[in-house]
Amino acid sequence: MIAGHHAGIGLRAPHLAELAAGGAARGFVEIHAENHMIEGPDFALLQRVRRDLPVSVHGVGVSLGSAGGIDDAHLARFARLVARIEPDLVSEHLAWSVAGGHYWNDLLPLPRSFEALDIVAANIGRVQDRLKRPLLIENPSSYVAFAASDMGEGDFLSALVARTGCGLLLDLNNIFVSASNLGTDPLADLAAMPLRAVGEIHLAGHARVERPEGPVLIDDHGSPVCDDVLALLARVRPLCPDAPLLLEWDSRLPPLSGLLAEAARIDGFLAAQPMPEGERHAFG
Amino acid sequence: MRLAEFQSHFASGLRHGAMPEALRAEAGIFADRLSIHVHHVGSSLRAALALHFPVTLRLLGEEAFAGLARRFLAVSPPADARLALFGGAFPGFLAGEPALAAHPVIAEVAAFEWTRHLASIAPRALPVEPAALDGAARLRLMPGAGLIAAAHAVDHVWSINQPGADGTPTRPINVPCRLVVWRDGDDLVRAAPLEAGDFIFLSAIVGGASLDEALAAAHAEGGDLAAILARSLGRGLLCLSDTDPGGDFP
Repeated sequence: MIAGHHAGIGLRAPHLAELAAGGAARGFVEIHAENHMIEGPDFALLQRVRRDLPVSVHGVGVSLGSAGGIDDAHLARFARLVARIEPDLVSEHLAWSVAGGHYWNDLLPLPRSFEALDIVAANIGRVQDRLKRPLLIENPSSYVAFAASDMGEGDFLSALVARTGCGLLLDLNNIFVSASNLGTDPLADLAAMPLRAVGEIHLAGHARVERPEGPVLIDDHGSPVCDDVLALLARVRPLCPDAPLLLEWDSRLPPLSGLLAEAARIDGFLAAQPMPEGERHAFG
Repeated sequence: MRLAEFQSHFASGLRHGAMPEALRAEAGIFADRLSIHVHHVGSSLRAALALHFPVTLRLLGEEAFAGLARRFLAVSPPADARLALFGGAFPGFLAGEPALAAHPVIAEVAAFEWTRHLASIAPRALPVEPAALDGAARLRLMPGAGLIAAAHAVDHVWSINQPGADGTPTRPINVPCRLVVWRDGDDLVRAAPLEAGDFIFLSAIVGGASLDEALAAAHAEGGDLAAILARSLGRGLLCLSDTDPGGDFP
């Protein structure tokens, strides 16, 4: 099981063989479920990694926000992967990607309406019933807000936690990116989250892109974790001291040693923080 | 707007490259940023095609490949969340593309690349043991193995367009070929030319024939049955039809 306080890393295909051969690792690794649903040569490597390290399974294609419900065939594949890997954690996103039988390769935004809350809660319940274990639900990066939203992200996720028993995968980079893009206060957004339900924390880098309508932060997972996001980590860590930390890196992927060095930098940052005075002061 | 309608509009925008006005109105001052998702979906799916069809990309050139990939996404968006399986319909799309009518070899090479790709990722399985064979046995090709019948020497075109090669043919291209593609072990994808009898035998197996029926079909073409069976077994091409391929796999 995931133990200790070493930040884990997202396991990507270019690093799979090195890790399977016993390459240096720390903490745990997290896989994207949809990249490991074919039980070919790479799956055999993943099983070798699993023998040495705790693994978490992070879905990117279950599409919990789909109005059309969860695809039976995909849920079966997801359940088979979870049964075979026996991960410590299983997570997905507050997002959708499937409509009309087509899969769109993105974490697409939802209007946070009461109707959407009912749909997402029902979909989470269906997946949890199939897996016979709770999911962690990740707050996504946002570039857009919709008029149809009836509540904020924190209230929406709190309602999901209350209704389904799911936990929260708190992505601090996404908190920062969304707040910057939508003009909100990241500390207030963080405080509104159901922090007592945090079961894992994600950290990553982002990119600043100049667009005709102004600069936008893109959640590209292609750079070190920035100081602003580490500052959020320092604020929230006293409230969820045991939640596993996970570094995500996808674009401009460094060698495994570089990824592990960045994870070690995060551990060092946390170790250098003053002792917490108590959670009531965390957002004081 | 109900969520189902919202998602239908959104998907339409992703498919055609521009968000419908009804959806833009929902996003208000953020409407222009919906294009971030259009861009991400398009670029990531085009990247997946480029990964699965590197020789096709080289033959077409970056610009033409990107244009064809954009049009392909509009007619054949992914129906599966496993990106590794995206692109199976691309060779057929290229075969029907009027601009490529004078270059049918490109679609054939794409089909060869897709077959190689499936072989490389296919679930592991154990080939049938000769001792387990009897005439009534129902067999199938190993997961990921496939047959190619083309009007051009696609294996040669593929090999002369690998990284470091300059694309110059060393033998004629305009000759038909029949190939079998399979994975040998975990890392090596092989392609081998097939005699007529071997091709008929393996095609019958793919069609669901029993071992006896497939051999009879090959015999009708004058094939050496013992040699055909020995070659197929020696290459590890066959497994029992009830072999579990490890989850659903095409």
